[in-house]
Amino acid sequence: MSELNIRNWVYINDQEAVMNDEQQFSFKKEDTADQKLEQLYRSLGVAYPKFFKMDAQSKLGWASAEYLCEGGKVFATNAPEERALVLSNQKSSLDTDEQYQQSLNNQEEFLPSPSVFVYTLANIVAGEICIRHGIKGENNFLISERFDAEALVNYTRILFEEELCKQCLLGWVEAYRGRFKSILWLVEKGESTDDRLFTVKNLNQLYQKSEL
Amino acid sequence: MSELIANLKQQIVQQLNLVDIDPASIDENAPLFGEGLGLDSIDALELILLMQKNYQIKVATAEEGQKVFSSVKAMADFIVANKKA
Repeated sequence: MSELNIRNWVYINDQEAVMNDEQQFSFKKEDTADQKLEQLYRSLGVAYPKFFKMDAQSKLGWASAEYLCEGGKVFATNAPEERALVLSNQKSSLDTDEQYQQSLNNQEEFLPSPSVFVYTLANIVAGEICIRHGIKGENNFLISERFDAEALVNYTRILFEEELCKQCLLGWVEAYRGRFKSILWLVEKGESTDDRLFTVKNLNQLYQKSEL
Repeated sequence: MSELIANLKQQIVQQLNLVDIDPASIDENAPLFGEGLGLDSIDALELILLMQKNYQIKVATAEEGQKVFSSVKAMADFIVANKKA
């Protein structure tokens, strides 16, 4: 099998959005997570009303993928079934789970929201990205105590070795109690420079860059 | 009736997070689902909540829901017909 290389990578944290080492957007420190994510959406110049119905984690993943996939251009040569997705985080969908639990606890006005309920699963963010970019191949969501580059690399390599995909979007997406952090990579076969090789070392180095 | 329709438009935009839609631009006779606002099945559940929360009216069956939520005008008619004295 030829080498796997990182075609694009992007991170978004509470301060900025960066793609391939170039800053795409910076946030004002005083703004809330909701405000920051809406600003990010506006900056992308895309009309996607569904964005406003998503929870914070899905908004974050959706916006990260929007950068990473260059508005879908990166998938021009492969079929939807050849595109895979592997996401991870520590807290699953706990942010939205807690919000939903609060609405269940409100005995005076017991009207829990269906639109909040549908986001009480970690892999909903994966679904939002798949819908947006027509990803119909393998997808998985891994929960781990901390960012685990080795697990992501191993899992993704198997997908390529088993010829289950030709491109894979992978990484970490987490929003919790007003803070958020994502880092995504788009990996495919091809020639590469050392710093773009799909290795545990390179993923860890890029992850370090995204840390505040 | 016109005040009720204006209020309903506001409430729909708020309840369904239709952030970039001006309530006044919603045609009260246009279908809410399939075309027009392009609402989905989760939005339908949110509209049932809206009726319960703001007007204390329950939509009992799916068949009734199809009629009640066919347009803003149909919602307003249903509220007028079912509001408690």
